[in-house]
Amino acid sequence: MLFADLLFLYFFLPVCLICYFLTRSTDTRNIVLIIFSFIFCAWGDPKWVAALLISAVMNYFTGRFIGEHKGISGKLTLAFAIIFDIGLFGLYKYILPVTSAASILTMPLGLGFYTLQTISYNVECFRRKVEPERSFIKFLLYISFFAKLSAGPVVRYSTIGKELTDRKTTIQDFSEGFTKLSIGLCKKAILANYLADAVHRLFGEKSDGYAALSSLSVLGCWLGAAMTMLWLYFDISGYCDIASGIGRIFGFHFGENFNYPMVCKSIRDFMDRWFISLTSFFKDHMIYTKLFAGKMKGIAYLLGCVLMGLWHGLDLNFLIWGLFLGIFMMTETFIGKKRMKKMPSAAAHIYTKLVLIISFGMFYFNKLPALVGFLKGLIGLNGNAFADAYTGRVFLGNIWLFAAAILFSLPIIPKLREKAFRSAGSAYAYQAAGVICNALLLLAGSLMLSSRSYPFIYFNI
Amino acid sequence: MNEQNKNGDPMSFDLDALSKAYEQSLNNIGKSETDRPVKSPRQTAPNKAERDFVPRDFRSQSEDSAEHDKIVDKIREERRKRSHSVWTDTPLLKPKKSVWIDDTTGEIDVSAVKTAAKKQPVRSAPQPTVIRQPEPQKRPPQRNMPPVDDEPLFPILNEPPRKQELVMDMDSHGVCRVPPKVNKQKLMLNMPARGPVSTDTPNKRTVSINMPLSKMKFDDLFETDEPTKELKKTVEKKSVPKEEPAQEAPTAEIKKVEPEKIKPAKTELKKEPVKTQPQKTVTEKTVEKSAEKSEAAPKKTEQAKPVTSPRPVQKPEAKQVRKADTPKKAQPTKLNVKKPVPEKQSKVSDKAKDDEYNFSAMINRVHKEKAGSIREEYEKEDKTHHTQITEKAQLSKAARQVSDIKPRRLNKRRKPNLHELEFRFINSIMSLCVVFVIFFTLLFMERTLGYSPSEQRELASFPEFTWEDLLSGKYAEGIDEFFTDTVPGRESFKQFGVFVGMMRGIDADNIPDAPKQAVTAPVDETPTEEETVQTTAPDESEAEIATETEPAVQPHTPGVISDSVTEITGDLDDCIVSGEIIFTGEGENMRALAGFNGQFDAGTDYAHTLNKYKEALGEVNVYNMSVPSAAAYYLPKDLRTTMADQKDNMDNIAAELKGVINADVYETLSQHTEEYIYSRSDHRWQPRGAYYAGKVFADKAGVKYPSLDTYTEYTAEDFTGSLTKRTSDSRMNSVTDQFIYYKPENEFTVTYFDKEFKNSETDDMFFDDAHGAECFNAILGSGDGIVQVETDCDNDRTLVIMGSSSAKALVPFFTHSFKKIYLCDYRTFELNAVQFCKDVGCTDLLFTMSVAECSSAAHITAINNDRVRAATPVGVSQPTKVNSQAETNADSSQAAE
Repeated sequence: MLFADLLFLYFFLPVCLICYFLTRSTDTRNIVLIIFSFIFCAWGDPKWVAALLISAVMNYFTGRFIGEHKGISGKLTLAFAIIFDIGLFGLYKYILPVTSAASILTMPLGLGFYTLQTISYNVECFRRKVEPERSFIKFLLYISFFAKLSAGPVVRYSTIGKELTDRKTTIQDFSEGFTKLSIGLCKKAILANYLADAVHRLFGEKSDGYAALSSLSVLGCWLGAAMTMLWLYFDISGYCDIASGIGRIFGFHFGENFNYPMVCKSIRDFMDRWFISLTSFFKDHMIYTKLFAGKMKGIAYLLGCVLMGLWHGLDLNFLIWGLFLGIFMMTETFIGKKRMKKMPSAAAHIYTKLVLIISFGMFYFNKLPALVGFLKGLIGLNGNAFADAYTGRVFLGNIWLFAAAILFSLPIIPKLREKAFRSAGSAYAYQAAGVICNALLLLAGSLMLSSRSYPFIYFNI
Repeated sequence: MNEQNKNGDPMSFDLDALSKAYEQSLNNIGKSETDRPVKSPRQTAPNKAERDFVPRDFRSQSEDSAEHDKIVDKIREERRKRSHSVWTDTPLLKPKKSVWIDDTTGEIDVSAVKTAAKKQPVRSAPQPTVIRQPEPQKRPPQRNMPPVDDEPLFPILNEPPRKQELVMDMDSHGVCRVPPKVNKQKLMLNMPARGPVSTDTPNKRTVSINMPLSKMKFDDLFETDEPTKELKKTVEKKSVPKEEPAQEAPTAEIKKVEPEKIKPAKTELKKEPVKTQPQKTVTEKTVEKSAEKSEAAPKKTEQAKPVTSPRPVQKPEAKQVRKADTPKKAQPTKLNVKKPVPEKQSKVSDKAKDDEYNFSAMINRVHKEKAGSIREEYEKEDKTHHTQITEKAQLSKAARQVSDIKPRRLNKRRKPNLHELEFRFINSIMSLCVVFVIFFTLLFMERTLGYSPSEQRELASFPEFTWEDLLSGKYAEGIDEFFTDTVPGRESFKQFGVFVGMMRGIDADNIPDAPKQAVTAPVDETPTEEETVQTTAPDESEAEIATETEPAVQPHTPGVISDSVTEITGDLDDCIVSGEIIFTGEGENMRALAGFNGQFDAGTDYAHTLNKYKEALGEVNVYNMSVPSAAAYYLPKDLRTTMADQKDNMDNIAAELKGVINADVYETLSQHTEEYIYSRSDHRWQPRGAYYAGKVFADKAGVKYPSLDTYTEYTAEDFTGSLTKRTSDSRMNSVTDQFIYYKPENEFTVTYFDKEFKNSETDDMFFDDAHGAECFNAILGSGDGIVQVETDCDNDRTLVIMGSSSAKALVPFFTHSFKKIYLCDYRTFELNAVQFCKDVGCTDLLFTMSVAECSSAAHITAINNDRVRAATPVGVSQPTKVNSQAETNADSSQAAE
């Protein structure tokens, strides 16, 4: 079951809301959420619940043991827990797909996300940042909560630990939750889906061997890569917004997962804004550790990016994507933040956008010949024209979509709100328009779901 | 009361005299340094012990402290008399939720406080929030400030005296609540590290004390166990009555705890707002009078500051603040100096005493000082707090420098109530309505079930439950599909999607699906039609040149011309449409076209595959008939440069054929484009187009081919072509189509075999009841097996046609040309085609398929698989029923009649 699915939005979610708010105590509500989370998880394959339960039970006990024992026993338990989590993830992600068992045991829903969550939980227990959760029910909800199961964000226990015990949904939570839900829905159903359509026209698809790429012009390659970048941004951030909104409705505060990454002025800045819960996981648990102190930090960035790429999959394009970004991050680390800030703003924007466009273009092609063809096409070595009528027509055919995507990737709404709230009249107008737009977006996004939809790019990660 | 004066005389109880004396002393306090004509010796040489623990404002300004004490004692006694029962001597008026201060002793009933504190499990110390005014130099001097010549208590107090405000939000449990609008960083700097801090509370109580920070005793303010009476007196309600006169702005801000509300032994501050109707007390009137008097004096008095409260209902307060900021309103002091009240006015003036935030405290401290009981205690506490507050002061000083503007805005300009909560509530309700209306709609409205004409398929039905399906996830998948597929108003939803799709760009519908392969010119060049038709020439030399100039080729699909069966990846549907459908024409001439994205390499593979057939079959005549789609002739001119040219691809195929006879139908069909040779809503040709194409083949094969006039024409009017299900564009509804087919007059027998060429059944060639999307099945039905047609032709030639659904239209026209005709759908063929041809005695093998199929790796693979598949002997069974075409025609004639 996907968020951008009519069955989820208009059957699963309303029923869950009714059951949740019919109960009063937090403990009962936790059980309600766990039941619905299990249904959500088992919808694709009931066997996925087993993997979820195994991971939850194991990490519950390891967390408690780590919390109660210091010294070598705690360290050993932490090491065991991390190896277990990574092993479970690697088994499904890397080993089973190349064996004959792939048809029987598919990748459990959200395994990539809750693996990172369990690792961070154990580490936080070890660092005494959080008290180990005593209640298995609460811990199970932390692992399996359906709002963040399939598409993230990677929520840490320290973020929602208290809300597992005591939470309430205020009017503000409800309002902002639904607002986020509708914004995320429109990001996914309108912007991301149509951007994906345009990208498929320019590059072709995996199923047809990226046939269209072979005769694409140079400008077409750049246009397609830029659209791929925007597509990925709206696809992932749209799902995260939906997840965050649903969590907010139920009284959980996951935090922002994307902070307008397209306004970055350096690749490190981009990594601070892109999928914050994921990048911060690698920063806090790897890059900003004593192991990589000092000049080793640049190498840590490189290694972190490569691991982040491998987390997406074992395909070559993910590895190259991580390596590519990691090299730039390492270089920026060696240059230093102060010197990077001295770069003119326009130059910084051009530099980062070029790097990002190329990197996300590489992210798209998971076959080496197509990837090489794309890189050749970017610099005109594929023998095609610099521009052609087809590229022009695709661009014109999606020009409003492209403009809207660029516009909404910038912090327009916060700026608008800030200006609107300077006077009472404009604030009223802004809020009233927000209410109407929210309802319309929710409706429009739903209508769009029935017409066409592309699967979430992170599905099964 | 037993104290005696300096002369040893018992204290006189001349209240008027005492009051006057005390008033004089307090008036001295109220005057600024410049106003004060004579500085008292006490001010110039302050008592250090007193200075340590008593704020300067609280200190007695009279030189004769004994006299002062007596006055205080007298006043307290008078108050006690009024507030205590004359019968029991117990207090009549006690705070309901406040600390009771025993007026008899003037001390706080600490035991009661502690007892009450124990009863409250979540009680914690109320935490004050001290908000400093960042620009003290712009403010008027402190009215009640003595000369700042003392040694400061804390480093922070070295700064010039400035207006301070103590804001304390606390709930019924005494838990301090932080107003959300307060600068948090600053707040934390100023907050003692005790007690919980919360930013959200339904029961907020703001306590405002207007006094200089330099004069405050923080330990007094922070101590929960000793909530002094002045705190109770300065409890301020959240909402200030709107009708409160502006004249009272400075004083009316301070909400008084009415005596009726007071109960003993409670540390909690009352939750419900205290009734604070603008009832002017005597004290307030006194203040106003004094303010009027002091209008002529220099305006260096301290203005009363409003309580900084986060509640939006404090709009009236904001008005008061603005009014209080005006010079006219600056005269009244917040510190209500109370004149000694005559006995007649004592009842009222007692009420007014409560307005004084520091008066009781002053009494209390002076009394204690006299007793010498708390000096050491203060000194000890001062040391600890001195350390804490010094650190905090340093930090807060730095923080103020950074965020200097925010607090000023916070105090000066109150944020207007924008009704955010109300809008959020409406937003929540509307969102919930949308979700639940759609939920109930989907749940209870009748779903769209059965056949979908627009998509030409059966919509999903609710899956049957089986444990196996449940465990495999298929059951859930089926429910998901059913829920989405049968959504009520599905067509409207699709139309909305089309509408949004049209909004994404300019002329989005006419964009072809894939780039033209042969286009090499930049977009700004506008080549002529002749220039853009850059073809791969038939001769080898030109083909090589074309290859050099066309490096962009489709990646070769491995195994296409393999000698073993290769797994087919991709769809084998012959309706190959990539991307959107292109519409052309208007009204009845509107036509839907499928774009073409042919690649030369794929065509080459196709040709090589046919060459292999020729090699395997030897003497058998192998023909190729690549059929162009309607887009080759009806595509608008401006779009032709953006698509692959079908003629180029056909020529490329022809150039690659070796030993295979090519039946080029392109030119022939182009001569009949004004006729109805292509369907308007389908990717295939009409039988009339097949007739013209068949004539080309018949000429190549050298067989008889009668005129079209010899055939009987039949028409199915409601033809819904295959392109209808490929688009949800509403313009597709405007496309009208029909299917016209021709029946030959000669006799023939049609036998339908299964894929293995075993089980057979004889039936008609034409099915006149076909309609809608099935119109094309009017010829040879919808089966995917092998069809055998035996005719009355006597040339002993056997034709095997390998093709897809469009090839069926050819068969009726060859009934005069070949004795036997076998029609095989290469996509579903399960035998070895070479062996099959040999077994059936094939003399002519015709491959006929669209150019798009000739350029599709999947389709080419399927043709090649038919060649290399393991050969099995063909056993032809006897047909179960034989109908002659003459009988069929007769039946049809009868039906027509």
